[in-house]
Amino acid sequence: MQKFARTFFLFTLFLLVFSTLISLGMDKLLAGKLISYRKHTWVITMKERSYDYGVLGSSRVYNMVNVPLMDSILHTNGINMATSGSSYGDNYCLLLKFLENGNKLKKLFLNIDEYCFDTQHHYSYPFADYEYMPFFFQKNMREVYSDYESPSKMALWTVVPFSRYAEFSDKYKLRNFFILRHFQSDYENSKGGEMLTDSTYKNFKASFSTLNVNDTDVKYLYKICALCKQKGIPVIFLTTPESPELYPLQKNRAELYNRIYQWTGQLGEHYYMFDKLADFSDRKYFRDYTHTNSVGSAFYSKLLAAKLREDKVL
Amino acid sequence: MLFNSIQFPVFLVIVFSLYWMIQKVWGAFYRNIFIILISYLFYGWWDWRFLGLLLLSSLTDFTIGLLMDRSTSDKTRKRLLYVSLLFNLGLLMFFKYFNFFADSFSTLASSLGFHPDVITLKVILPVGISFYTFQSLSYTIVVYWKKLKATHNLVDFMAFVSFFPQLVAGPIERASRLLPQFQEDKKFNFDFAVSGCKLMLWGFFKKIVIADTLSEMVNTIFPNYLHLPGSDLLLGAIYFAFQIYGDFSGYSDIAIGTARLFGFDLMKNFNYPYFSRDISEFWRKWHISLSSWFRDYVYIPLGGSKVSNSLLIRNVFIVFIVSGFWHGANWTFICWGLAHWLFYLPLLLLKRTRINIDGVALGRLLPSIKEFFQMCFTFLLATLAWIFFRSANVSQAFHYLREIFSKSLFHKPVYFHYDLILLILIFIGLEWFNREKEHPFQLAGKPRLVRWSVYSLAICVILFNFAFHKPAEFIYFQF
Repeated sequence: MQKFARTFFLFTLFLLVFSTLISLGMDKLLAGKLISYRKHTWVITMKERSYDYGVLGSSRVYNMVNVPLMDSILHTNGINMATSGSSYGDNYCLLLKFLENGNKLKKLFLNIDEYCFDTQHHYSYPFADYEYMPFFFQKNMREVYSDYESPSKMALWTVVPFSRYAEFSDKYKLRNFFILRHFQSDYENSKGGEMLTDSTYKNFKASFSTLNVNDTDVKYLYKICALCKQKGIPVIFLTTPESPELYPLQKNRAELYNRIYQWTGQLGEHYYMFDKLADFSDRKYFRDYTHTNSVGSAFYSKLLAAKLREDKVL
Repeated sequence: MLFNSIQFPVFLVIVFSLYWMIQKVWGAFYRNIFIILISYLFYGWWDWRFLGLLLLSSLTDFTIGLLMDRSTSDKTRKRLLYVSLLFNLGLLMFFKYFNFFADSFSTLASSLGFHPDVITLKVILPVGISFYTFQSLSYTIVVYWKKLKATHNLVDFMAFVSFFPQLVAGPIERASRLLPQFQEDKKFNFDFAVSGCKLMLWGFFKKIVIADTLSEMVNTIFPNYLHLPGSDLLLGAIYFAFQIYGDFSGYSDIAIGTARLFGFDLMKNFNYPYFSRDISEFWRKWHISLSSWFRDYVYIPLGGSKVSNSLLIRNVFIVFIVSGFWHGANWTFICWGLAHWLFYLPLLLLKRTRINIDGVALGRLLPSIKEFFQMCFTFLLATLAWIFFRSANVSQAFHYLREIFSKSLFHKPVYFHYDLILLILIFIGLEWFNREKEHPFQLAGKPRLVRWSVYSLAICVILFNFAFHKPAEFIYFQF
């Protein structure tokens, strides 16, 4: 029995070293290879591209800012880098990787709204940790991981690096490594956005009556702005349309928006609040309280483009 | 509890340590009590409500065994055997077949113009019921035949019926083989335990890397059979052939390997069945514990091969139909059994059922051309039969087969994925070049660095394919 226990222990050590070497190899391979159709991967693996502007944030901009439409109006070249249900922490990582790869942005449109500051409650998975696994050991990435992950998970992923990929093997499918054909992401055609063609208005019950502010989310708002400042990219804040039916359900909306105005004034070059552009009270523009359908998105994007041209932002 | 769950390795390490400690300090009796407790925990993890059924099954057959042992009258012994058969098969009938018979009766009556009010019950099928009832039944049968003396130790018997590695999906052990192993004191054997670990590793590889990878494609092709050409349907059937083999033989290997860690030697359940040169050989290599169970307890009591040709055909027919029916309460399984009977019939009539007894291409690297084509043909037959097994109903299976044998077989398939074909070829290669060993991870004679690197790589590949957030179930759990 002692011999078995000893062999088992030694083999476990060997396995740990072996799996660590494999995970380091995977870090190298995955950092630059598009092996999935996911939005994050598309942005992270992009290299040496230049855009007139980029849109960053959650589904509020991912589904609502129609970049191809705006580009046709403004004769610009933009990219929608936003991802569904993502926090500022996630947005920060995405932008950081995008810029590290030699990509350039002239302006950044950053989403800001009442949900951005309490993402742990409003979003189901505010930090898509599995998307940044190849960069887990990089200093600035680890800081984000530490802020969003439990200490036990951080310890496991640090001591057994392979466990990062093993846990999310459904995201990093082994068979995708061996797919011989090189696929081009569909995001190239849509410039990263996805409009909601499901136009039925779903009268969702809002469960978030009090709007909170979480320090971590605020921290990464500042970090995104600091990164942009360092790279010379002006930040323009956007709050995309919401159904006015939502307002009575939010107890401290006015109070939170006072703070949002302070942040946008302090950190951004401009701030475009949707209700300053037009009246969005008609249900025909919405799929739910907080997302416009494709009709509403087109309407909003046209108005936004016109305003940007008027203000000589683009 | 699933073998491929996060809980299982934790459970195994704790149970393994306590087991050997109890064996060393208190001996076989308390060790067997511990086995019962952990086996009930293992089973109850899935659904504790059916623990009573397992207990009832064990108590009934133990009591019947004792009564048979005490009785000198053959008539009484026979009656007791009938009670055991009635009880065990009754349990199966109720939990597994009640709705099948009710539905079939209703359909038949409707086709004759009657419209009876047939009761159907919302019965949940207890996991592994077909396995442990057959194992328990094997005990009363051999005690009746006086080939085994009835045990007077309830703890030994309960441990034998509920032994967790093989409780829910076999191998279906014979009482004469396994029960004595519970009656002896055990000493930890390093080599035996290590061989168990390696076998478990190979089992996990087959289940997680082969079966679960292919299942994705199978689950896409079979439900969409109406919209796909014959070429894709044939591919789907081939994917399923490897999926079910990886899934079920993987489970068996994990079960046998786990049992070895506890010092138990379970019977081999698969012996490279896709390298069979005829269907008869296939059945000697596929789900051996079940096919030999039917041979010993159905085929031979019916007269076996020492009867006239017509009776022989009938006996084999009964075995295949019962085998199909054992798998599930659906006509598809009966058709699957029937298809195998039809494939078997020419061999039976030509008395060629036992011409391929030895392993294929023994001592040679490659098979002869004849052997190669024989294996391909047998695999094709088995694959065609699998279509019945996987289809939701018989009409789907026939449509599926019709499409395969149509011109659309020559259409370009949509689901021909190089990576999956490569995976299957690697799997076949691993099995072929190691077919004279128990499994490909037997690397005796290779330096430790090579062996450990191979095992480590296999573990990484397994972990990388493992769905931590939702492990896939084993197909044979439904039986």
